[in-house]
Amino acid sequence: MLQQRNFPTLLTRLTPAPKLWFALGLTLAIILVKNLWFDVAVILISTVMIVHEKQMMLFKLILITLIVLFFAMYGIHGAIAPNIDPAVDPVMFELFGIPYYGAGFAYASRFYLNVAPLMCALFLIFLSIDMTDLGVTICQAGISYTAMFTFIDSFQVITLLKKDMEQIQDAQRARGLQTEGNLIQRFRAFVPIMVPVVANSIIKVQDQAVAMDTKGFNSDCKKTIYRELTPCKWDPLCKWLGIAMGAFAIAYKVLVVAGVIPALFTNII
Amino acid sequence: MAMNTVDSSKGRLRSTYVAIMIPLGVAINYIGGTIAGSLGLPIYLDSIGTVIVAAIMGPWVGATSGVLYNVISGLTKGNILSILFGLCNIGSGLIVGYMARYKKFNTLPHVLIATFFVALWNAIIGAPIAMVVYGGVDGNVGTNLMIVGLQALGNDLAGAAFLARIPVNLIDKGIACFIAWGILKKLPENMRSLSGGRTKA
Repeated sequence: MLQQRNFPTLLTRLTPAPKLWFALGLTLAIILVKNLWFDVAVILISTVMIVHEKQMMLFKLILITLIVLFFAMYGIHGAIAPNIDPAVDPVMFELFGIPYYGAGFAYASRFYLNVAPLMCALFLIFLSIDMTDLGVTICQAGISYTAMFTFIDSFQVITLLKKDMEQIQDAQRARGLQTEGNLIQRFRAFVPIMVPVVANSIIKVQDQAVAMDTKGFNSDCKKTIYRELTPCKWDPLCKWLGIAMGAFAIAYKVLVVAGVIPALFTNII
Repeated sequence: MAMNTVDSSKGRLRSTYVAIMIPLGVAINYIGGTIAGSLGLPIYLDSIGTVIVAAIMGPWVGATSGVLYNVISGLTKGNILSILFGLCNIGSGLIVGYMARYKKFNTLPHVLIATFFVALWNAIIGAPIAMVVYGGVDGNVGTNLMIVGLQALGNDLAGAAFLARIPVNLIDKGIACFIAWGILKKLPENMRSLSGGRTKA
C-alpha cells in the first residue's frame, strides 16, 4: 500500500506568531485600502498556494461558501441595492425581465471584495498553523494557561465531535433515517442526529472534569510546555511584511480621511 | 461513614468545568452548523452550544462560548469579518443564562419567552452587522429569499434585512432553546446547578 508522506513546506515551517502578524496586516490592507488589483492578486496567489500545498479538498468548502455568497450578493444587490436610482443608473442587462444595474454591481463588489480575498488567504494561513504551536505562542505572549487551554481545546473537541456526528449519522441512516428529500424530511432528520451528539458529549463532561482535576489542571504551579518552537529563517520577513502592510494601511486610511492625500490606491467604491 | 460531597458550582472545580464546557459549546455550535449545512436547511443552527452552556454554566460562560465559536469559525473558514456576529451569540448566552440562573428556563412557556427574546436580539444585532459585512444579505438561503421578498413588497434593504431575520431566528433559536431545555431536564441534579447563581440551602 502506498503511504503519502507530507514534507514540510515553507508555509508549515513558519512559526505561528509571524503568520498571525501577516494575517493582521493583510486584513487591514484589504479592508482599509480597497484596491481591486491588490484583492485580485491576493485571491490568485492564495489559490496557487492552496494548490501547491495540496489543500484543494478542504478549500472546496470555502469555495462553495464563496460561490453561494457571490450569487447572493451580486444577484440581490445587482437588482435592488439601496444606492440604485432606476431613473438615472444605466441597466447592464436584464434577466427574466429584472433589470441589473451597474450601481448594484459596484455595491456588491464593495462587500464581496472584502470577504473573498480574506477567505482565500486566511483559510490557508490558519490551516497551516499547528494548534499545539499556537498554544505555545499564546502562552509565550503572556496569556493565561486556562485561556490558552480553552482556545486550543475547542479545535480538538470540534474534531472529536465531528467523528461522533459522522458515526451517529451513519447509524441513524442505517436505521432508516431519511436525510434527503423535502425540507420537512430534512428538518426531521436534524434532531435524531444532533441530540445524541450533544447528549454523549455532556455525559463525558463529569469524567473529564475529574480527570483534569486529578492531573492538576487547577494547580497554581507553573505549567510545563514540552513543545519547543523551531524558528524558520523566513519568520522575521513574514512578521515585518505583515506589520508594514498593516501600518501602511492604517496611515493611508487616516491621511485619506483627514484629506491630507487623495485616495490614490482606492478603486473600489 | 458520612459521604463527602463536592459543590462543583463554585471554587476550583467550577473553573475546570468552565474550561471544559466552553470548548464543548463551541464544538456543538460548529457541529450544529455543519449538520444544518449538510442537510441543506435554510437556517443557521449554530447557537445550540451557546444556549446549552449558558443554561448549565451561567450567562457569561455561555456568552464566552458563543463569541469564541464565532472567532474560531471566522478563523478556520477565513471569514474574519463574520466574527462580528459573535455579538449575536453573546446576547443569546446572556439572555438564556440569566433566565436559567433565576429559574426561568424550566417550563415550556419559559422556553418560548427565551426563544422570543433571543430571536429578537439576533434580528436587531444581526441585521446591522450583515449590512456592514455583506451589504445586508448573507450566505443563508432562507434569509436571502425573505430579504428579496420583503424588498419586492416595498421595504428598504435595512428594514428587509431586519424583518427577514425575525422568522428565521424564531425557528433557529427555537430549536436551539428546545434542545437545550430537553437536555437540561435530563441532566443529573449536580450538573444542573453549575451556573454559580445563588441557591437556597
